[in-house]
Amino acid sequence: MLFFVEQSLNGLQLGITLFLMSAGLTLVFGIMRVINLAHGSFYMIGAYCGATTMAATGSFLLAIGAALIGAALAGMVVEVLVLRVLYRREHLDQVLATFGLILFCNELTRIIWGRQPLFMDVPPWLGGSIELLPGLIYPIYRLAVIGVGVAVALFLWFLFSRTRLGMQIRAGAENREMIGALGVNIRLLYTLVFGLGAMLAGLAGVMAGPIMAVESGMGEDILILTFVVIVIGGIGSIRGAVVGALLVGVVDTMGRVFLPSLFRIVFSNAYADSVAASLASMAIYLLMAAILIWRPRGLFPAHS
Amino acid sequence: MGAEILAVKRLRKSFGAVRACQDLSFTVQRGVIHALIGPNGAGKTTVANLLSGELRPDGGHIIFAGADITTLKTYQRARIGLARSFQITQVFEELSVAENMALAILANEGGNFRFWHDALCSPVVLERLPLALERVDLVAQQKMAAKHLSHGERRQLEVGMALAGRPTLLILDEPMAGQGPGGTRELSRIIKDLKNEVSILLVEHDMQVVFSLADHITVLVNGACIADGPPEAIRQDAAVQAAYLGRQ
Amino acid sequence: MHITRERLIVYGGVLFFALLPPVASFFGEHYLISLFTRAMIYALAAVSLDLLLGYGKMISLGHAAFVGIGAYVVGIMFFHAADDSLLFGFIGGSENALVVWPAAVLVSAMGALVIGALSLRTSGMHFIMITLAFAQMLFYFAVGLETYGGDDGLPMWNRNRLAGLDLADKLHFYYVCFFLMSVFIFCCTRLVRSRFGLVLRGASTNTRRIRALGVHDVSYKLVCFVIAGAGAGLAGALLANQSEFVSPGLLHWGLSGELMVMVLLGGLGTLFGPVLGAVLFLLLEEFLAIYTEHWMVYFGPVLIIVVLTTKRGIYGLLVGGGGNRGG
Repeated sequence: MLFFVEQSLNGLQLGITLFLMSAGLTLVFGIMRVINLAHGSFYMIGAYCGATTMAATGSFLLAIGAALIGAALAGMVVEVLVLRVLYRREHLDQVLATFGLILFCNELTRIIWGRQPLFMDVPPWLGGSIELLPGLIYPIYRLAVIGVGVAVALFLWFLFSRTRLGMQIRAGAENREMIGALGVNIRLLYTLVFGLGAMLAGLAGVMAGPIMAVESGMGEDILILTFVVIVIGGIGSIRGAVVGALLVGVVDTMGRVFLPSLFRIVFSNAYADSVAASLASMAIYLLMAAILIWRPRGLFPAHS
Repeated sequence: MGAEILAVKRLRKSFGAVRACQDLSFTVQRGVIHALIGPNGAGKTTVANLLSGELRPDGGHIIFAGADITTLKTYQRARIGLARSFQITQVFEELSVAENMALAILANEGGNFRFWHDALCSPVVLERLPLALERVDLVAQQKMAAKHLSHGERRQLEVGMALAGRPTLLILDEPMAGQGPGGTRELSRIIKDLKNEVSILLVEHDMQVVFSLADHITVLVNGACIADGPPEAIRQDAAVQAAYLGRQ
Repeated sequence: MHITRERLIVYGGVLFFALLPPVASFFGEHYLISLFTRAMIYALAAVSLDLLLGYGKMISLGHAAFVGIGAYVVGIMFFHAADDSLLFGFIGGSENALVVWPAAVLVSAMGALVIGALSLRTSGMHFIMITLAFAQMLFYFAVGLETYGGDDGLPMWNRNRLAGLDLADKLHFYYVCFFLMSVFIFCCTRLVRSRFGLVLRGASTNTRRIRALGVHDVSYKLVCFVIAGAGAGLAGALLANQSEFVSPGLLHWGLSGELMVMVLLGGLGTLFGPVLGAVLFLLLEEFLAIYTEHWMVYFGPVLIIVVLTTKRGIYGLLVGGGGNRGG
């Protein structure tokens, strides 16, 4: 039982990271109708900015600040230089141009930081573990990640349901024509939304820094998981992003942990482990396929 | 099978609070030009989309040639002989006029999972393409890409494609929209010529055209039928006059 | 007249590929033969992707999955032939190209049928993301296949056997690839002008219209997806033979992206263009890498600029005019 709770927390933590990635991207998809493959690059940029700042200053808070600013700036620059030209183009052009962006960003980080991965330490004040329940010891840092994610989710909820800007963004994601009708400066709104999305990705990146290696190309695996989240949740829906991210986080974690033991009941050990490992990594994609059959436009489709 | 080709029974459709179609019933007889008219926003295009299957009704039934087709999808309705043209022309922009027409001829033929022989040289196309092009006066333009046609020519192609599958009922959704007087005359002539081979449901805004072409008229206001009858009766109908004059 | 110019380019290309091996051998540049063998295999995959992108307007970002499936079929059959074991307990291995290559094509086509049927429930951005996700799923599946090398891949001791030929011989293998690529492209040129091709092109330009004409567009798109998957599977089988090695990298989305680059660089919806694209891409990779290991940092922006400024790639430039899409 304790083990189950622990794994649920791990799943939650992966879900939080995915939520930070997909919240921004789903808005970009919904509002601008542009497919952006380079979102993972902002995750990577956030992680690198954070790791470098951490190494230079030793301050984790400064590292987070640097990641947020770095990723947001990168996002806005990319929006102004590349994305803006792509809005009226076909999806195929968007895919190819943002693929070019990925190649560029990955290679640039290799030039600046080298091929060796960077490692980021957990800051001392978030180090160690605490006993959540009798017998359940959990790292404080991971709890902090979950806390930050929940805080961001609350912040986004506040932004989208209580502020004028947020309502304009949401209206735009659900019905693009609406933005023009509301008399909003569309260019500025697009840049801001893109910057916000990049910033959230950067936050996800820097928080993943102490858990995973910071290396060139780290953004793409998470990008594809983010896509799965958006397909499950529905394009343009923040609520969909929350539900999809948690679903994917929990299913992926649980699949990896419990499938092998399930299989061991039926098959011989070695065979069970090998098949289960393969199947476990496929679990979320099978989930996606199931949801596709049931609801092709995702769980919370925005109107279009 | 009776004399009626299409029967609409208590058809309903709402978009949120807007009732685009309320308990609409009417029948279209075989071999006539039946017009569906109404002021802007009366729900004419909604009815066309409900009939062709692009929209699902909230309630009611659509009977075509004696069969209930309410639950059939667009392509299934087209296969049993219900064709339509669109208010905003829908042609295959990238393809040539001949290819557009050939596609319209082949679409309803079946046997399109043939991967080797040139489509434009298939017997059915060779046999029917020249006539199909001639009927809508597009022989000279057949090599042109559809996107390079003039507005009027696109309309002609649109109507020609709807006809190419030899439908039993043709729904023309505002074919005169955006046409100059010359285009209107040309298209009116084409439509009149069709009367003998296909029943036509003409969804139209232009009253003059309707009264010169239609054998029977149904008047739609706010998604409901307010009058139904031959042109003479409709012309004198008080409710129709009120609806049209009240709007102007 | 550009038709003749188009013909000229195609005949020139055929002549070029046919004469390359003797010329390269004459000048002692033997590595060119392997380089162009690889280019032709990639070209085969890129042409199959062009069916999807250019004619079916289906933006699949997971085409590498079918290359990978084809390659793994060859690799796994070889593995079982080598140690005389059975796959799933009843399928024996094989090294015979006439058995293994059709099997690779068939399995890839079946994979494409399943993935295509699911992905075509949606369109637009959803379709792009879903094809990418399914390809990634197969990538992880291959990584998890410990029996067949998992992450490290599966080496083959030698190439498949093909009666009367020695595939280990550079020249023999080159001309086999040349033959298969040519046949595939020729079939594709017939396909896009056929009744099926016409309906497919119609379905991809105007879904509303094609449905109103009585066509269930999804079935045509699905068949196109399966044909493209089969072509990619054949490329995968050849690639496995060429490198005598199969690894999850063949299923990686990066390869899908590269294939897409080849198609657009060479000329979308032209069938011959992607061949040019594949050749150019491999040459760039080969020779730019000599000057700088960071060639991607230049290639990325060049790619963006090419996308934003050109319409029909190199082939479009060569043919001039607008070219004749679809034939």
